[in-house]
Amino acid sequence: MPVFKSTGAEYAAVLDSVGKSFQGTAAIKSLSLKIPTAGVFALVGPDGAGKSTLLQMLCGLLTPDSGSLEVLGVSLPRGLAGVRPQLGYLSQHFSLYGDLSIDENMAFAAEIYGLKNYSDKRDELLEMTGLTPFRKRLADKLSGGMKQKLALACTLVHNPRLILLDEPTNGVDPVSRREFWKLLRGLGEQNITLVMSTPYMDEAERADSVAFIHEGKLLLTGSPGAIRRSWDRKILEIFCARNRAAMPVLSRFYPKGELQIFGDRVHLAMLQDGPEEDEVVRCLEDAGIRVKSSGPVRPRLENVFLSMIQKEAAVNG
Amino acid sequence: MKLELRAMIRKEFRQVFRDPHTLGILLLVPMLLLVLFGYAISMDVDNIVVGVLDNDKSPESRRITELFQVLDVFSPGESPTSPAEAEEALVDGRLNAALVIPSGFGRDLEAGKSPSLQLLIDGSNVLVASTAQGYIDAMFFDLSLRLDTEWRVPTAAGAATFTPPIDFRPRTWFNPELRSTVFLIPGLIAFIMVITAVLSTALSVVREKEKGTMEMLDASPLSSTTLIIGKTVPFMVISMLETVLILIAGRFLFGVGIMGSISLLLGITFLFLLSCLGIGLLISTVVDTQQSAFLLATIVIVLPTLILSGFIYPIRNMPLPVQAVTFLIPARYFITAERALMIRGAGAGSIWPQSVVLLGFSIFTLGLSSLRLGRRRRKR
Amino acid sequence: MGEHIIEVNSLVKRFGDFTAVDNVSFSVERGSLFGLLGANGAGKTTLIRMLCGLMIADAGSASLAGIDVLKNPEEVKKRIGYMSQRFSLYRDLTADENLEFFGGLYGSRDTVGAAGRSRIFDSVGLTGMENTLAGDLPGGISQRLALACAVSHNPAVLFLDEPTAGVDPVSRRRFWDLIHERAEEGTTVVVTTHYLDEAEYCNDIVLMHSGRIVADGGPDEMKRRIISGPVFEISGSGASFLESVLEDESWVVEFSLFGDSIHIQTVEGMDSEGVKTRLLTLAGKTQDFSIERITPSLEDVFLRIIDQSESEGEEII
Repeated sequence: MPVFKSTGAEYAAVLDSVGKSFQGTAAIKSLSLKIPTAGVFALVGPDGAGKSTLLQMLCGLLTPDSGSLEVLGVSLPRGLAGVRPQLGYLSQHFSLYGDLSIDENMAFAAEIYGLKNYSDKRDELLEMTGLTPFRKRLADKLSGGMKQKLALACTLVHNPRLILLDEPTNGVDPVSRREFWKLLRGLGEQNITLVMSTPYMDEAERADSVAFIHEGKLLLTGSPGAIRRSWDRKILEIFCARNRAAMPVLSRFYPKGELQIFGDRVHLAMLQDGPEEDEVVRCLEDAGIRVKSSGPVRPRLENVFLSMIQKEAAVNG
Repeated sequence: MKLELRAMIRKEFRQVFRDPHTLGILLLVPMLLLVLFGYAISMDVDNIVVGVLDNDKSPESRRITELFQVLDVFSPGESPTSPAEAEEALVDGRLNAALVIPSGFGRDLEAGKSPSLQLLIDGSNVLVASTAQGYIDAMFFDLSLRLDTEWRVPTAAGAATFTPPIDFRPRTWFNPELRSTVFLIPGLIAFIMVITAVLSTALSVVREKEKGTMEMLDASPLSSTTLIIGKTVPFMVISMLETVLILIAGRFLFGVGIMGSISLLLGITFLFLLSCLGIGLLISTVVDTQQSAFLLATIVIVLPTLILSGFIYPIRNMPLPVQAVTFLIPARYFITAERALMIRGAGAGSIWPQSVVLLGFSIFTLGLSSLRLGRRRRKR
Repeated sequence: MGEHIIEVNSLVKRFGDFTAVDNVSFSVERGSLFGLLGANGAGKTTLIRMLCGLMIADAGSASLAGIDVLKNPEEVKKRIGYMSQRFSLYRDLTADENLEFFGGLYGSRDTVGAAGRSRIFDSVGLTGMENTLAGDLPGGISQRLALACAVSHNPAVLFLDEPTAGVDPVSRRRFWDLIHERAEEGTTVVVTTHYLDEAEYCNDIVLMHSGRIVADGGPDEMKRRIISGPVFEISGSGASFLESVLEDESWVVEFSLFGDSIHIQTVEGMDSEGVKTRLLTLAGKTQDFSIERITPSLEDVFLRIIDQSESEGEEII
C-alpha cells in the first residue's frame, strides 16, 4: 500500500516560468502558478487556452520546455517515478473500457498501479459514487453522469494525493454535475488536491481557487470571492421595455461603461465611482425608454475574466 | 448549372487539390502501383533451363531441339545422355525441365503414327514449372499449326499432370512474346481505378460525417441527387485523367499500346468508373468512420478485384462456385472488355455485353446509394 | 410582433420503446430569441431535427414560417439557417471558400460575387480573415464564420446548437451582440443548449426533461416563479461551519456549497439583516460573515424543477 505521507506542504504544485511549445507554437508562455494543497482548484479558459497542456505537464505526461515544475514537493520530470503513484489523471474522454464492467474497469485501474488488495477500497469508492448496484454493468451501458463517476472512482482507487481532471463535466447534465461536485468537495476535505479544467465560468465559481488561463498565460488567480471583490466595477441590471434601444442611450450616457445585453435585460458595468442607479434610470426615462425594474447584481467571474482579457489585449496593442 | 451543384463540385475540387494527401493518393499511388506491377512483379519467367535427351537423333528431333535455342525464355542446358542423368540434373537444380525424345520419333512421325514426347519438369517452383509447361505446350501447338502440312501433330504427353490451360492459346496469338505486362496493364488500370475511385469517394463522404459537416449539408436544401452528383463528378474527372495517364505511361514505359478504338476504351472506362463511384458511395452510406470505410472497401471490393477479377489469376482456373462470385465484380467485365480493346483491337460489337452489365452496376449502386442517403437524411 | 413563426402542436417522436419527444407543444414569436434547454438526452436535439426537416415526427404537427414541417420539409430547409455545435466548417477550405460554398448550397445570390461576400465578412467583423484556412482560425473567429455561413441566405429562422461552448468570454459577448442584432432585424433565433448560462441571452425559454416541457417563460420571470424566496450568498471564515447546522433550519429552503461561500435560499420575505441575525445565533458571535443577496442562475432553476418533477414522480410510483 502506498504510504500516506502528510507532508503538510502548503502547495500541491508550484510552477515557475513554465513554457511549452508544440511545433513552434507556444501553448504555455512562461506561466507561474501555485496550487494550494487540498480542495478544488479550477483552471478556467476557452478551448485552446492551454489548460490540457498544463494538466498533462502536472502529471508528467508532458515535459516543460523551460522553467521549473514541482509537484507534491518533487521536481518534475526528474522525480516523476517517485511521485507518479500519488497522482491520478482523468482525461477528457473518461478513458474507460466500454466492454468491461464497472468492477473490471476498477480492477484494471488498481492493477496497473500494482495494487493487490484493492477490493475494500473498490467497494468504498463504489459506495461513495453510488455505483454499487450497477457494478456488473458494462461501462458502455452507463449514462454520461455514471461514466464520469466511474472514471473518477478509477482514478481514486490507488489513493492519489493529487488528482488532475481534464474537463470532467463536459457534456454532463446539471443534475449529474451537481452530484459530481459534491464528490469533489468531499475529496477536497480529505486533504486531497483536485485540479480540474473547465471552459465554463459558472462552474469555476464552485471551486476553492481558480486560475484564469488565456492564450497560454495566467491572467489571474485566487478564490472566487477574492477575484470578484478585486474587480474595479459594479454591475447595474436594468429591465426595460426595449433593451436594444437602451444600449446606445447608455453608452452615450456613460462611455466608460461595459454593456452586455441578455434576453430580457441589460447589464451596465460601471466603475466603482460611476453614476448611481437612479441617475441611470432617469437618463433612460428621459430618452423615452421605460425602465421596468433595476438593481445592482453581484459580478460573476466571467465579468472579471472579460475585463482581464480586454486589458491584456490593450497592453499588447 | 444549379448554384448548389456548382458550389458542391467547386468545393470538392478545392478540397482535393488543397490536401496533399488526397492528391498524393489520387496521383502518386497509381503511378507507384503501375511501376511496381509493371516492373517488379512481372510474372514473366526468363531463363528456363531446358535439357533435351535426344534418343532419336533424327532431323525431326533436331528441329525440336533447335526450337529451345530460338526462344528467349529458354536457355539450353546440358544435354543428358540417359534418363537417369536427366533426373539427376533436375534434382540438383541444374535443369528446370528435361524433354525426352524417344528413339524412333522421327520415323513414327513420318509414318503417321502419333509419337510421344516426355517432358519432365521441376515442380518445386510452381511459377517456373507452369510457365515452362505453358510455353512448351504453346510452342508445340504453334509448331503443329505451322507444320501441319509437313508433320502430324505431335502429342506432348507423358507427364500425367500435363493439361495446358485452354486460354493459353489466345494469348499466344495476340501476345506472341507472351509478355505478362501486355496482359497485366488492362487489369492494372481496373485495379488502380477501384482503389482510387472507390476509396476517395467513400472517404470523402465519410470524412464529412466525421467532421460534422454532413449535418450541415443535411440541414440545407441540397437534394440527395445533387449531393451524389456533386460527389461523383469531381472524382469521375480525376479518375478519367488518371486512366489517360496510366495509358500513356503504359505505352511509354512498357510499350503497351491500344490496338482498338481509344474512344471506345474511354467509354467503357467511364461506365466502369461510374460503378466504382457508386460502390464508394454505397460504402459511405453503411459506415460512419474513415477507418471502417477503408476496411469495408478493402474487403468488399479491393481484394476481390485483385484476386477474382481475372486481373492476375485466370477465372477459368477457379473452382465453379468461386467463378460464380466473379460475376459480382465489375472489374471482371471491364478487364475483359479492356483486353479485347487494347490487345485484340476488338470493335464496339464485341464489348457491348460488358458495357450493358457495367451500366447496370452503375445504375444499381448509384440508385441504391441515393435511396439510402435520402432515407438517412430523413430518419423515418 | 406577436406573430408566431414556429408553431408546434403535440409533437411525438419515438425510437422503439423510448419516447424521445413526448407530446410537446410551444410557439415562437417572430424576431425573438428562443432557448430550448435541457440535459443531453432530454429530447431537444430530436425536436430541433424535426423542426429542421431532418426527421419525421410520429405524431402531432409543426409549422415554420407558415409551412407544414411534416408535409414539406424541403421548403422548410430553404428558410432556415443551421449552425451546429462546434461550428462545422470545412477546415481545409479558406473562410471565403466556406462562405461561398454554404451560400451556394442555399442558392444565395449574395455570396456569388466577392463583393457580396466581403460585405458579409464586414458585417460579422471578419474582414482580413478571408483567405485563412478555417482550420487555422481561433475558436471565437470560426464561430463568427459559422454564423456568417448560416445567415448568408437571410433565413427566417436561425438554429444555433450550443453556439458558444468553449469560446472565450470576449468572443462570446461579441457573438451574442451579433445575434441580438439579427433578432432586431427580424430573424428568429432558436438556441438549443444544455449549458444553461447560454440561455440567459434568450427572451423566451422552454425547459425540457425526459422528452417533455417542464417549464417555460422569460429567464427572469422563470427565476422569480420557480425560486420563490430570495437567495443569499454567505462568505467569510464562518461559512464552512454552517454546512452542518443549516439542514434543520425551517427558514432555509435550500442551500448549496460553493468554493469559498455558501448559497442559501430562504423562505419569502427575508432580507440580509434577518439572515445575518439568524446565522449569528446559529454560529456564535465570533464568526465573521459577509452576506449578499444574489440572483439565482438558470441552472438553479433547472435543478429545482428536476428535483420537483422527480420527487412527484416517486410519489406517483
